Amino acid sequence: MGFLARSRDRLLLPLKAGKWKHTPAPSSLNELVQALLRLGDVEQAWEVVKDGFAKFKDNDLVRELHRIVARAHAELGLKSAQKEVKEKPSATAFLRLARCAVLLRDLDQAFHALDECIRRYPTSAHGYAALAELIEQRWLRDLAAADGRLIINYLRKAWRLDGSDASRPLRLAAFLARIGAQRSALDTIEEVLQLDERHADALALRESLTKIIDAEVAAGRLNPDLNDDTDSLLRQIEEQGRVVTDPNDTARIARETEKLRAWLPILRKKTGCDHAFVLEPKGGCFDEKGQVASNPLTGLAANLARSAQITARRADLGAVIEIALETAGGALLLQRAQRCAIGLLVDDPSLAPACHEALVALVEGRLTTPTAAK
Amino acid sequence: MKDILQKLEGVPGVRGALVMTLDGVIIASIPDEADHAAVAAFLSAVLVSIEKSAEQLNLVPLQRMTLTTSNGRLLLLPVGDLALAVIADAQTELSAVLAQVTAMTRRLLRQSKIDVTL
Repeated sequence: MGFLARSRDRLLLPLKAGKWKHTPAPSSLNELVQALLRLGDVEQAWEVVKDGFAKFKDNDLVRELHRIVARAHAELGLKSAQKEVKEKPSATAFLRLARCAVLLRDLDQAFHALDECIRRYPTSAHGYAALAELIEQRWLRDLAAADGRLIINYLRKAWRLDGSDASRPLRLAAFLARIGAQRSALDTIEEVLQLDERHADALALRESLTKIIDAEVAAGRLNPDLNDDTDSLLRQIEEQGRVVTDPNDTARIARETEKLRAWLPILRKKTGCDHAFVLEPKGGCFDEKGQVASNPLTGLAANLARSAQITARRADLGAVIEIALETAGGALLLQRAQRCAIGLLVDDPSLAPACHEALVALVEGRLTTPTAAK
Repeated sequence: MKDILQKLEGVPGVRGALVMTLDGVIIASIPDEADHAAVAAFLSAVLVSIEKSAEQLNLVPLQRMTLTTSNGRLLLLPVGDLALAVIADAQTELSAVLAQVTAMTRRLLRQSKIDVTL
């Protein structure tokens, strides 16, 4: 069947290519791309689907096709990069491996590739910059101070290694401004402008930073003669679970809570646990019906989450992922999901591993479709 | 106590360990150069802050508390009137470490009955 199907595809391929060329439409694109995929020509399918996506990006079929081919193309790239890393390792090969792993959402592999890249090639500015970019994505999710420090260090290192690329100091300045270290951000921008006084992005950033600093000084919230304590700012952000300057934070958490609440009935059914809830960063507790009144369980969960966060920070362990309180009378499991946490009170201690697995599945999106929150 | 804790030194994935009283006083810790005072104080605060609610929910006695983070894990195991805390890597398979910890916990329990006067 496979042989016959491939032969038929090969025979019809020029016809399908011609149809797509002369009468471009989602259906003709679909036929051509599917034939190319069946023939194993992922590179060509990727070229065609990119063209199709540019023409019909609002079409659902084309978007789905683009997603499928992008994944196949990334898988192919990953295999080729893995082979290159093994046979002819170079910083570029590690970077390509990391990029493909990111596209396939395999962040562990991406981190591993970039760590290996800077270990083997400590002068690779691209390696440090890529690692900083990846850690910044994690920082935006976890707000861990340790990640923030790494971003600053790696971007500085990338800049030192390759002073000709202004994107690194600009990214550093943007990150510093984001955490509230505007004076440090401005200093960084000034250094960029010493090298290129007409750099448009740097000029724009300097203008906006100057306005912010002037306003803060006028309001008496900032002393222009002092330096920013970036470490303290990062710790403050981690402790508060929010970027102070982010006005949309409350709405964002409310949206996340709303989504997570819809999964609770399924989680209960799956685990057989009566008590499942969503815990917000500030300690508010919700089930699918709405906010839960304060009770020993909500108090315990909120205290545990808060203390765990502080302990993790003190031990420099990074962002909290999960907390398990195992006792002879049962277990309380808290699993971080985006900025909130999902909690489960397990009455039977022997069921704790299965319940933990269900929590992880929920967070990773492996549970079945949720019901709408009431 | 220190001798027993040193059994954990060199165990793959284990970064440090300490034995503390439930009110946060460190009795022994490894490695020597590490400053675990803040961790002990906060672990003690955790135990105090959750004690009452845990009792109300019948979540007693505590067997183990595990805190998993992006850079590592922190395990807390009560040992009689003391508590053993282990800081380990996040990536390392913990079953071997946990076996070591469990064995050591039993030894600590025996030793705490003999040596430690509170």
